[in-house]
Amino acid sequence: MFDLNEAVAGWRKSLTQQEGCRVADVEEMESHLRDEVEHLRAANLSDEETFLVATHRLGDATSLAREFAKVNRGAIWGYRLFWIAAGLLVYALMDSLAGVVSLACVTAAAISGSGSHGLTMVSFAARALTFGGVLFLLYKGIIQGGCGAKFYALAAKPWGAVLLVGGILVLILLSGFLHVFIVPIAAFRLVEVERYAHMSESAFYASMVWSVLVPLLLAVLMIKLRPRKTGEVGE
Amino acid sequence: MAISKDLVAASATPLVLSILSQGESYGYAIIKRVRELSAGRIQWSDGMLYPVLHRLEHRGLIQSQWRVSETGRKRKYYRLKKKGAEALKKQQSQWVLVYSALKTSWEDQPCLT
Repeated sequence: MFDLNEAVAGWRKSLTQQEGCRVADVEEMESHLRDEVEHLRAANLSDEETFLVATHRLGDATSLAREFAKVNRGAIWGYRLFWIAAGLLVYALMDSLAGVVSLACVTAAAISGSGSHGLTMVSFAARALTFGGVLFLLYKGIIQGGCGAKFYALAAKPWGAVLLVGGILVLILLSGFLHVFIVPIAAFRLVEVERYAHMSESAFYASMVWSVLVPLLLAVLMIKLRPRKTGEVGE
Repeated sequence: MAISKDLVAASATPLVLSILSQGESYGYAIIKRVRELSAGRIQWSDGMLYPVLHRLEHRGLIQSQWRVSETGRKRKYYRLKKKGAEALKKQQSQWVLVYSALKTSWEDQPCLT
């Protein structure tokens, strides 16, 4: 059974994914689409037929986006810069979180008596798990869940932008505070001096490997996720 | 006979401005009006009207506002601004000039048709 609202939602999504169209543009065209559907319904067409005719008359997503992109050039650059800045902030947060989580895990492992080899593994695994976890959440929320547009809409309001940026900065500060003061003080008090030296050594090894692996991983991701030229799809 | 693509693109701005000079309107109604005015011969791909409207708004010729329509759905209405009315006047004299130049030149050579 054809569900008109579902079809319109799918159509909206295909337009929203095009970089040239802003949310307000898509909303305006949806209002047009629904006017057209109502008009065609009066001519005794089925929902599916009205939807097909109406979307055909509006034009295909790629060429619409190309026209909108010409008008929205400034907004498009704002959008790109927003995501670059958001990416940098989130990366700083992930890095800081990974640092504190790995330090906490290594301290716990040192107390329970792991050797320096084991500590290196623990430090590395804790970092990888934190990064992986945050990336997984971001992927679920932004790419699959479609929250990206909501974040952007929130950031478009002045207080929303302050809230978002402020929230991330507070989280970075908080985890930095834990990383620099709380966890090291706990480690000093709880771990014997010799073990503490092992801990520091293995933390260095782990972060050395890490600082080589992360740029490599990001480079691979960038190559994998690079944008395709939209104009060539389906033409 | 359909109008060529270039001419459709060139006439979009004066058409939109003239329609809005008769009172505020929204995308769907503007397209319907263009169809009526040209007896269906000016064929726009409906979606292409919106970038045209937005460009006119950027240039300060028209003004838009989201409102709830009589159908209960949100709709974006456009209104002509003073600068737009001036632009329309300029466009009118340009189109009349082009038209009269063409007409005169065709009157000089009646055997062409």
